[in-house]
Amino acid sequence: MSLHPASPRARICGVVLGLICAVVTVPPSAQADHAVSYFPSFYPHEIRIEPLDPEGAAREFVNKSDPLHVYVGTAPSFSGQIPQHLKSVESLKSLVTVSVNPQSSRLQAREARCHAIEQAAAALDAPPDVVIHPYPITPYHADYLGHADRVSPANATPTPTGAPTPTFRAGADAALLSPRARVQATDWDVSLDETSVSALLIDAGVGFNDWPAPPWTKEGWFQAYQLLRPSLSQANDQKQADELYDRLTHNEFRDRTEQINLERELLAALIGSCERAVVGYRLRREFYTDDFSDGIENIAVDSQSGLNSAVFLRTVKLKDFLWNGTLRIGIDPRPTAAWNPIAGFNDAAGRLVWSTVGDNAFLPIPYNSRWVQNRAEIRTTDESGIKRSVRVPDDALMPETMAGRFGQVGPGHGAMTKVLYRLSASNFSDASVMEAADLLYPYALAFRWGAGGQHAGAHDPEIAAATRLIRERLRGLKLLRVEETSRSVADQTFTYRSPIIEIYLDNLAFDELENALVAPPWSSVPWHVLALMEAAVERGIAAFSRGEAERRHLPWLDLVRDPAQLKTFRALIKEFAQTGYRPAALESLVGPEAAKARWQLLDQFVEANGHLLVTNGPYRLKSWSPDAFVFEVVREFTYPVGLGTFNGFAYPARALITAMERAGDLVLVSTDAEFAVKQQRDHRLVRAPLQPDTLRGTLLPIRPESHYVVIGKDGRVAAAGSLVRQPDHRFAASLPTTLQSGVYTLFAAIFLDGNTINPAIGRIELRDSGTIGKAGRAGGPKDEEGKP
Amino acid sequence: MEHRNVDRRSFLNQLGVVVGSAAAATAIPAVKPASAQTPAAPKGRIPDTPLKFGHMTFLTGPGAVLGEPSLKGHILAAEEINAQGGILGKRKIETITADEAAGTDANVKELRRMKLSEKIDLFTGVISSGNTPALGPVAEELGALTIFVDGCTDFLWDKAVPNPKFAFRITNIQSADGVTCALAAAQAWPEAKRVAHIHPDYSYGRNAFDHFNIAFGKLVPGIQVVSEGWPKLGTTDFTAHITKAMSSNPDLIVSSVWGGDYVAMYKQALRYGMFNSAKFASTIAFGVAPHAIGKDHPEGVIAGVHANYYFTFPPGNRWPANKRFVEKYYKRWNEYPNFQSDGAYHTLYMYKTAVEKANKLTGGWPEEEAVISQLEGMYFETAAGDLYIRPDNHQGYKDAVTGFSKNVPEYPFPILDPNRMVTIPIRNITAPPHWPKPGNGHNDPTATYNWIKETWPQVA
Repeated sequence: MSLHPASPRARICGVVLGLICAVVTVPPSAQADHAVSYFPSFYPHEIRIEPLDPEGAAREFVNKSDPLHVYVGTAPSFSGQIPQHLKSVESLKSLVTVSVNPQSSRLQAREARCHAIEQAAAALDAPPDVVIHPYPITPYHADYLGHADRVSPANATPTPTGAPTPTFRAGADAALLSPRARVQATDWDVSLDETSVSALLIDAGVGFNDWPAPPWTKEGWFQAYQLLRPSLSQANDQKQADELYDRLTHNEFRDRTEQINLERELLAALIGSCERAVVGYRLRREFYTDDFSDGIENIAVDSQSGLNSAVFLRTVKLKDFLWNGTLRIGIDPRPTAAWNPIAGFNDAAGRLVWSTVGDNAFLPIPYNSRWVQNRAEIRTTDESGIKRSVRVPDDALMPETMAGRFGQVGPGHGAMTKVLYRLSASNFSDASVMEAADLLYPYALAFRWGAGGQHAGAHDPEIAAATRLIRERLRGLKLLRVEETSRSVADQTFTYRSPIIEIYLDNLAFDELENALVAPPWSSVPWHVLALMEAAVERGIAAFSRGEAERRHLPWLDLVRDPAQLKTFRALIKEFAQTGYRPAALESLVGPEAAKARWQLLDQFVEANGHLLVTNGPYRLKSWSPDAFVFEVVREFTYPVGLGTFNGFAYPARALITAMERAGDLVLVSTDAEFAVKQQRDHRLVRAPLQPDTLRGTLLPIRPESHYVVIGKDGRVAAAGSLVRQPDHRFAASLPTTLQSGVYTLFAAIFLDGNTINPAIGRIELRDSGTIGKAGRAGGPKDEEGKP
Repeated sequence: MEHRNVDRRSFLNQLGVVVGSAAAATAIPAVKPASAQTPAAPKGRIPDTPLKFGHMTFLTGPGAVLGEPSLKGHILAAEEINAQGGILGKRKIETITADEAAGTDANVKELRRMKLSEKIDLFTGVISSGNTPALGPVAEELGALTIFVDGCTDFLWDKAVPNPKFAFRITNIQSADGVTCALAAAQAWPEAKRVAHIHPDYSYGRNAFDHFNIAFGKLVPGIQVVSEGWPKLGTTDFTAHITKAMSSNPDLIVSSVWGGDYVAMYKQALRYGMFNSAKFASTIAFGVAPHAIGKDHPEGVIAGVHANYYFTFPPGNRWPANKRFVEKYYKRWNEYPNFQSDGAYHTLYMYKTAVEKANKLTGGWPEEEAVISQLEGMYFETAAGDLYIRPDNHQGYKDAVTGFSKNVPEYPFPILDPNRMVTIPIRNITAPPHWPKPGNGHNDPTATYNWIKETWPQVA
């Protein structure tokens, strides 16, 4: 796309108009039978989300006429035995910390603090859902393998010593303490607290809405930094932790080994001063019905958000329906966050609602810390895989800081990498057709509302936090062209158009997908709804975020549930429909007539639907009340992602390491697979030796990923890498030739289909290992070989 | 058109329509089925290199409800054959799978890749009739021996591959679906004159509509189509079509809505009492895996199985081949097979039998030509009855099956009523060899449609 002063609109109108989606044609011949290859959107044709307390959920699960299918957030409170037709899944809910009172005179020395934390951990009276685990990275974090040596079974169970136990702060999470623990309101030594992972991420600026989350959102080191960094009191400790964190978030490492070492150093820096420590974690146990008729299946469970995830909603199906059916979801707690995609939707209910109606470019993979392409596809380029900076084209665009207007980058600018996106456009629910302005406007909004400080005319700290990566690393964007693809369904052919956009970034990750996550050119909300919200905030009608709403004593902007706001929004829409309003940033992209058409569509939409939650996701809000939000599926073929797309994420297989042995400079790992096999309407867990043709679930092949780390006696990671499958189906780790002679421990894990949840980690002691100084000598018979 | 004075009962008898618990697949086979035989020692030197088979079916998307049983049938047969040492006791089967949901163009590329790069010995599977007409010509061009499990459109042999050499198909032809449904309805409810239709608005629905009407009209004089409902692809709310059909006061409602759409439709129809207000006949209600249909499915309706196979047919385990197949399938997969399972399973045994016969004639591993010549005209025992591969069009023909839904205590899902099974010799309801194809003297939808129109009597 080029924007020259002469006639910018004329130059881009071809591209803009070219994004019209999904044209259907019917060929004259009759060549289809009943089977159709594609169905838009996902299984249930209706989703009902109901805020329910745990007692209500228990009742509704046994409701004969309209039973609850799934309860998200916590376990129901059953008065008696758990009904047999219910099953449960577990995920990481929260981290339990002990924080030392900086005022405690007894705990000024580091050793005293460390000891107090150990004593505090020993005083825990953990219920079954709390796991004693004295390390911030848990088996529910994908980077757990790199820290496996630090959480050995030996130190997972703290033993009390004879020294007096510290006093605990009253009012903290005292329910986790044994009755013998001493609790006091003042002059306490330590505070026992529980921090939910979602709260931690919100504090870290992760939006859970239209903004892309940082690539490392689910990584243990990232969450540890957010949790523990605020407790560091010494400037040196803070500096060290910040520097390590910056190196990790800026990909300043040579290879995977150095990356893991940095993560380990960061953890050491965060916990070294013993000012706050993780002593355990709580699992979230969520229930669903497995009844033969009323049950649900095809369950994908996120390691950290459980069933409150976009992928769960995109795989779950009702057993009595091959597709379609009404899915009834209960959720706890009741919603408190406003429904706006800029700085709302950030409580549990809001997050679930956004996962239903929104459709981000990438979705978090449920059982590791990576992301799966949803509406954006990454194309390889000539520069792919080459670690060198690239020139940003002169005519690439960049939003101006504070103003948000797009201007040309101009000559002489470079970036560390370029990502080429192919985007799956589709119509929005108000029937507006996705255009270039919809893809680009979020950048303008990010720079306008995120760049300035508190005193800027337009600023919201939560937008600033959520868009920090975009603003820091975006160096240019360029809309190249629009591609057409067709899809034949039965005897009909649908044509889809996909914009191809280059994004230039100062970000250089090993993984191209990680680069792509930083600033994808995507929005699930059309520009005119974003502009409406922006105008509402500018006019003092509401505030984007909870924090700004409180600070400015305004309502938190809600596109659905506040009749007073809605009334004001409708007046604005009518005003904008008359004037053809478009924000200054879009004046070169959208003409007044096109803008009028958008506002008119929105006016019709709100008239018909009574809300303004216009998105391009797989479901649309149909009706709502305080007790139920009802969403209907988008079965229009304009929606480009279809039934079954994410089925591979349901019921992941899990590897069980059965043996490890040393053979020269190889370490050989034998593995069984534990996987679910679908039988009629049930899934049965099966364990079998892992072979290339082992199939799981509905006959999908299992793809193993194998990783190892070699850790020396000094606690440094000496090597990290992947294992190679051998003809006898074992996995082999080749000890690197650069390994110095010495004693090491090798930890290995096989992640089947990338499933890193609660992995079985094998370990083997390697004495006299390394090839340097040994003239290629292989490990001798005296090598001590451990059992997994 | 012939104008003979024939009554309905006589003509149905002529067609061989059999209803009731006595319905049997076919005559007792003279030979043991291939799956139960211990093959004779092969002649000549047989290589021990594996055979590579490509199985393309829906692994994702809506078609996976059919693709999964297909792959399960294929895997079961391959495991059994491999357990016996492979085909001719030497060549074990290795299967490469491909997801048919990738789309027709991608499927064509995948077939090329399988043949040219993977050097597959047999290409099989394929569910969609949108794909077989694209893959058939490519199979012919590549010389890739192909046995389609489904993709049953008449168009494949009528137009896309009128003179096949390498391509075969094991599943009954699509036109049989509507005709079978019509014959069952005419036999059960000959008084039904006012017919309402609800069909998916694409070619399968139109095919079912056309063939039901031409056949039913011949058998039930004075029928009147009182309502047509054509739900668009992707429709989730069928109430408008249900109420429209009901308001037309029909005697009979006919539908070819399938899969998840059918489930949504019947559940919505239950709320309106549709099944109490008229008889109901479906071409394909029970075509999916048996356990997929809910216990609340209405009883006593014609619940078609794509005119192909049902796991309890014939009742009373009177067809040993089916009894054995169901037992083995259940043992392996802990569920019951559908027509895709049957087709995929017997595809491999049919190939195995053809290779063994060719080996007896030629010795050694037979040339593909020799295998093809054995497949052409083969009578082969399957779980669904004897299958005949017609040499002129390489189409498999087996007796068509349908029946009436019923809940029984033995299964947690409804099955076809064991006392009301319907079976029809397929050759009596499909156009004979060399009957003019569409465009050759007529422009009717299929050769079978034209054949029925021209040759079936209008019964009195």
